[in-house]
Amino acid sequence: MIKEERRKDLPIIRVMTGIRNMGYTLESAILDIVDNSIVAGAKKVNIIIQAEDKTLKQSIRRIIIDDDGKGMNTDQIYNALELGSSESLYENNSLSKYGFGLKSAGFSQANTIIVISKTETCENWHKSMVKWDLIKTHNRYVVDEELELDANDITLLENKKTGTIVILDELTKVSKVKKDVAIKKISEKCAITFHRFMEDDGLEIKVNEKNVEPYDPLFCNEIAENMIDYNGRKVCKYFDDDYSLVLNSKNKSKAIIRAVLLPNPPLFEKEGLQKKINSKYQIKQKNIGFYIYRNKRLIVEATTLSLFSRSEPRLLASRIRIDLDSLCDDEINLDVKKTSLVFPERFMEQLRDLLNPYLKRSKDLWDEMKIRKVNNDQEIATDSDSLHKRSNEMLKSISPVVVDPQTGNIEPMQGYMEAHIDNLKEKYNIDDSIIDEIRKKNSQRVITVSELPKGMLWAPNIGGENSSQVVVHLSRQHPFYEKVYKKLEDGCDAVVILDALFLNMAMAEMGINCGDSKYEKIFAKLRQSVSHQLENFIDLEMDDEDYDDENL
Amino acid sequence: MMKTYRIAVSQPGASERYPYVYILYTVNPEAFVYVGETEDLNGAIGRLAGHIKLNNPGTFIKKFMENSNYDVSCLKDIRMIAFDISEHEIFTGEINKTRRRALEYLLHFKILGFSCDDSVKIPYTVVSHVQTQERFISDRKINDICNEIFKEAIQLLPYSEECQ
Repeated sequence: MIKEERRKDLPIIRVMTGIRNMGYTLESAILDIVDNSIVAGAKKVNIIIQAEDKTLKQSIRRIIIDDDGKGMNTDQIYNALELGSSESLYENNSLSKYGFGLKSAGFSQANTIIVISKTETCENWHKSMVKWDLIKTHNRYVVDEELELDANDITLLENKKTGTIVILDELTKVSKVKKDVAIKKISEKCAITFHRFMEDDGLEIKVNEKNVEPYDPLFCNEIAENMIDYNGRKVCKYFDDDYSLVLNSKNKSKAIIRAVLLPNPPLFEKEGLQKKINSKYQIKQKNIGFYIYRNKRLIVEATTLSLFSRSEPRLLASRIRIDLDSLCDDEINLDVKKTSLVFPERFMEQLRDLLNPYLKRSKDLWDEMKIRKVNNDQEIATDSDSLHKRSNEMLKSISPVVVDPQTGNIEPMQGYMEAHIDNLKEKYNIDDSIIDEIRKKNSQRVITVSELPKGMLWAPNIGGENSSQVVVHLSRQHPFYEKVYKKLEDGCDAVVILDALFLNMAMAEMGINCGDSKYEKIFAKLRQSVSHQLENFIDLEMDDEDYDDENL
Repeated sequence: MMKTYRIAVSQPGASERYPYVYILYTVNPEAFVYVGETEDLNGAIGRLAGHIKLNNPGTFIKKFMENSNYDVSCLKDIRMIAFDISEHEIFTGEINKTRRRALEYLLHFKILGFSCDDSVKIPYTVVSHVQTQERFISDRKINDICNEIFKEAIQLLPYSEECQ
């Protein structure tokens, strides 16, 4: 039952205090006001930060946001300043959502919000304001309308035909930061938040007369290739096309996902460009993750959505964009200041499924780039070198033998092999991509390489100290290496045993093939089958115990 | 009344042990889609049999129970579109399961994305769950095969204007 006698007026000051304390920062409040300029079709937005006096170090006194949008008439200004502006005034692609933006953002920073505006059809500029003290005095929400323009206003309106000027005056103590700090912070936030409007729609933003350059955290205009060709030096995208993930199939609301991998700064160390690359792409832990946009406006920056850990250094170059539109509003929980949101669980599951392979590939590529850098530097041993160091010492002089089945005599077959060395070298032609890598390890018997052809785990070859010994190459990209070898301690018995096993397999293959080539294909098939079976076993059985399909 | 099942197959061969990617779908009581891969001993039909078991429920039945407010007895007309991918050797055999899974992953997300397409008139929910290794997702050939299958799939699924 609703009791009529319970009805009473809202305690306006308490309500307004709640609204002004929604958690806006100086930057987020100004971004919210710039949203309105964009909705009004502005192509130029000037933000002016005015200090107590003209020196940079003084605290800010007034903030002016001046745009050349379509402007407002008196009623529209009233509506903009009224609490909870009418929903019908917002278009589908509007950046506004609740109709609280200007008031909550404005009062979070200032005690007075002034709006001066004019449309093409208006003859004059109209000025209205809301003032904290006035609301307090009247004990209700009041808008002071049709105010006289003062000298400052007239200066601002010189050569201006239409548009809106919002002035935040009498700044509160919390917003009293130094002018130079405020200019820097606001410029940076505008650059990233509105970069797509600046890039696509020609929006210009100035902060204290200085142009703001757009900053796309995914560097989409630099995307050179697919991640399959990633070499650490260019921006790559993971999916050929962006993927759509459904939020609600009934209203067709969807999120569009794009994932990229930025360049790997350590690779540029030798050229002395590491710092420059780091600074250009802002390769920092705090920047890892998802960049979420609503109607092209960045609303959440570098969140992990709890899908991975920010402390994972191998994801430093990974960035993902999620694009939402107004249709998604009912499916996501977006706060008034548009900086935090929560997705439905079902969507999160799909996002996790979609991105798990990307995250894994990003980590692997970071490792590969590390190895590539080390190899380029030719100085430091790779992690995998130290893993096999003990094996290489112990297996240094091991060589294939020939057993006489009649007598049981065992003889070394090194001489026999050496006689066929050219033939063997031709048969086991080395892939160009790994020549550089193995050149630096010519005294070793167990050599890891970034990848072997046809997904092989191991391959025999000729090398070693005198360049005529059988050596074995192991692929670091094979899941067996990744999931089994890498989990072992450097030089432990298990590593030595596994190394000895693969070296023996290589010696057996070389030993037989140097005499009779009819077994060549069989050994190649054996390696291929074992490599693929191991790959499947490790990928499917060791990784996804909770995967229920096919496990019936 | 005796329980009666109507089973129809568009053409013989679907019980051969070939590699397949398949789409299971329903319209009533709710539109659900499940994308999977198999190289079952009894082909696509064998895999379908596993999915629709009621005692010790098959995966599709489980997904229906998890995602629907209806009782499983309301589930009618479960249909399957199976794409025989044996002409591409890269998918044949247990050793190529990871490639089939990559194809399944790509198709799953294509079908999921299509559910928001303007041509879709019957809203559907994709209930499958895919998990794959990253290795083959960017493989050009697998992506091309997926695109070909996807084009055919949207014409066969009953949800959109594209449906023939």
